[in-house]
Amino acid sequence: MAKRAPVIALLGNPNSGKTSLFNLLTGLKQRVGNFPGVTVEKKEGVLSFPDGSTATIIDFPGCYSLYPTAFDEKIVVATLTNPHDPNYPDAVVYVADVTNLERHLLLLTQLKELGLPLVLALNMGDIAEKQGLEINHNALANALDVPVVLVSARTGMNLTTLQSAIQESIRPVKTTQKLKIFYTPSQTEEKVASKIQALLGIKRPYQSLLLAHHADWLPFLTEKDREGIGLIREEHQFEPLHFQVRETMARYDRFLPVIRKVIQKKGNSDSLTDRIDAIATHSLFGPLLFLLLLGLIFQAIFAWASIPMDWIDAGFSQLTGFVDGLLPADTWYSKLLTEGILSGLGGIVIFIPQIAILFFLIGLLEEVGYMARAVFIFDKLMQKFGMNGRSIVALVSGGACAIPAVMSARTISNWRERLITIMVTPLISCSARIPIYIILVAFIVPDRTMYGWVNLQGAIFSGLYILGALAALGSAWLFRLFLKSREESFLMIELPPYRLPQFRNVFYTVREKTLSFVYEAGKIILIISVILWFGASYGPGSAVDKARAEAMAEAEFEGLSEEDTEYLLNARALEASWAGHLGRAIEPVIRPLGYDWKIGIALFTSFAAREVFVGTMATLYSIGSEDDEKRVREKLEQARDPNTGKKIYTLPTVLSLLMFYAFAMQCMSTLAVVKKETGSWKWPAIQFSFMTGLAYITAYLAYNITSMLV
Amino acid sequence: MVARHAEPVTQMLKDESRRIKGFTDDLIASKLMAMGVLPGSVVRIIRRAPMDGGYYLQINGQNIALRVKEAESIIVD
Repeated sequence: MAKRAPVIALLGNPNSGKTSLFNLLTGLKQRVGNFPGVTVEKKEGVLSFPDGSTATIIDFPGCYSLYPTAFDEKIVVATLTNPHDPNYPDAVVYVADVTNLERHLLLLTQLKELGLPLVLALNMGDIAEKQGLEINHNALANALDVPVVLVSARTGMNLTTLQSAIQESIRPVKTTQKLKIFYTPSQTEEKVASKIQALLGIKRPYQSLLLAHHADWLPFLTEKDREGIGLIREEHQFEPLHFQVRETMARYDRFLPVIRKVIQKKGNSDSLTDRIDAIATHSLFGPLLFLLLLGLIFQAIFAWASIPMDWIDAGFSQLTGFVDGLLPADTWYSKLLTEGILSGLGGIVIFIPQIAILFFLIGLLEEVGYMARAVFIFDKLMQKFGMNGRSIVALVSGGACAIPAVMSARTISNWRERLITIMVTPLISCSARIPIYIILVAFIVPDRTMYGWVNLQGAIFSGLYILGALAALGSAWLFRLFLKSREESFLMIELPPYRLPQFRNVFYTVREKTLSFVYEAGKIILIISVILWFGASYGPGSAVDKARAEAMAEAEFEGLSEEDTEYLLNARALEASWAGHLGRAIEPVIRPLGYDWKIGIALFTSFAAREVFVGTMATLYSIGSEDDEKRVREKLEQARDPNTGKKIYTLPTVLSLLMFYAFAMQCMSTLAVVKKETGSWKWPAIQFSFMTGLAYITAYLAYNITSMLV
Repeated sequence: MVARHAEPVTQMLKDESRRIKGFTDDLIASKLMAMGVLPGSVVRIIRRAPMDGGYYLQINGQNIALRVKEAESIIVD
């Protein structure tokens, strides 16, 4: 077997600046994957040493100790207690905030006893210098028995020194040195640990002690191992919580005196943070500020995203025209390329500006330290709806794209709170709904300004967003009634000092989230576009050709103009195609909502992804034209029922469609992610049913009530 | 300072600083201790969250948000 590159684990408490250091160490050589078997995001990068050799570095989720409760923290223990794990590190870089060293070293002392080679990176070195913090490196290194490097992920201070220290730590020279121990286990713990060591053939006593604590959920243990450990625990009346508290206390007792000796403390209340929080966490101004920020964020999306979106739009129609010119006209492969693949790609790329801008702004708020405040402010409210303050991050992110938003719920340790958050987040209007809203809203209100500043369409838009948020809260409230849990739930969150944002970190966040959208949603959108093109171009047997020929004869008989002939031809061809058959098949179900079979086709194709709706409409009404929202709207406006001659897109139908798209679970990628996050198809199935049910009922009501009124 | 009897953090007055004596809930204690909240740490209430929600506490110079139930389990001297 080829020798693998050494694996370095980056570990540390939340807010230690770990990810910042990761970004600095790896630059663009990073990618996001998953830990085996679970969906916890694994950020992995290439670490280059000064001599040119490389190692793999993994940014593990931040955690406070090896006794985790949150889902993403558990991965740390699961990896470090299993030397056979593919991600088991050869060495650990432990990142600690040097200005808060007293509470950042607990995990380090635990890691030491797992026998892993360690390097201690004391981060925020620049701030320490500014605060006049005196650190005696050598004394600290001796006392802890680890190499210590003072770094700053902000300024890049001592980066090369850190790289050399890491490289030194993975040199396979050392004979087993005597471990510096920060915890002397009790007799019971010793007995339990040594029995588990014997049972599973484990080298380190502390490793088997951790197995004793976490046997119930560690994924790599077999049922037999679990049973064996259970018996040992019973035999010695091993009480995990009691020993955990005892161990934690004992560790602090040993390392706190050490730190106090090597670091000269200053007064540490941050007056700027206190002053900002006097408003940001104020019981009245806090929520107001949050709403204001939210308003600004969505305003920014509309103001900024439209420009790059126009470029992308223009770029893709140029490209389509160019490709069209290169290939022989009217062949199936040129049509597949331009109408299928290129229009599908365009449908993915067009969303990047909105998603990138939203995650840029959310990332910025996260980076300065604001998000923890939002979590604090809304915890009580969220609890009323069976969620956690942390849910606010998922719900806000849901405004961009539900896929990364659902994944962000992993910081919630309580299963029920996390599940409810995952279930309702897709009800928040995501950026994929925007193009549909744009087309449909333009139908019901003119693009006019009232009182000098209220844009009518903007007002309806805001209404739709609020509707989505209300639906999310309402459904959460219902789920809360049905889901019971006795598991403990926590808020317990650090409110870190406000810091100026590092744009490097925000950039990597945006890059990561945008790519996850492009990969996860993109591939499905692309496949559906191709299928859709096929479905709309071909039909059973020679039905399409026959329909065309008939339409041609009819047009000649009626003496139609060239344009009208073309329109008739395409319409008839489509009716005869597979898509037409499908649309007709579901027409009876959607008739009560005011939809015809063409809308039926769009509903069906956009079950894969909402954004396909606009593309489908473009295809259905003017096959081959670019995804231009204005043109689609003009076409829709002209659309009439061929039998009655009445307009199809009347106010009731449009309102009904708006309701449907606001609530329906029309995104296969999200369902797939929910399946991964919840571990079964049960929850995405429930989610799909309740959202579609909600969509159907509200659309039905909207159609019928407005029909009566108009 | 006037000597006071041991009571939960939630009974403290605003802007009063007191030392943590212990915890009444092992599970909460274990998590708090991992975050550096220990017996002997100095606590101060900064403010409450909206709708009488959680507590914004300063513990050893670190700002931490706790739910009422979590704050109640911390006993101060």
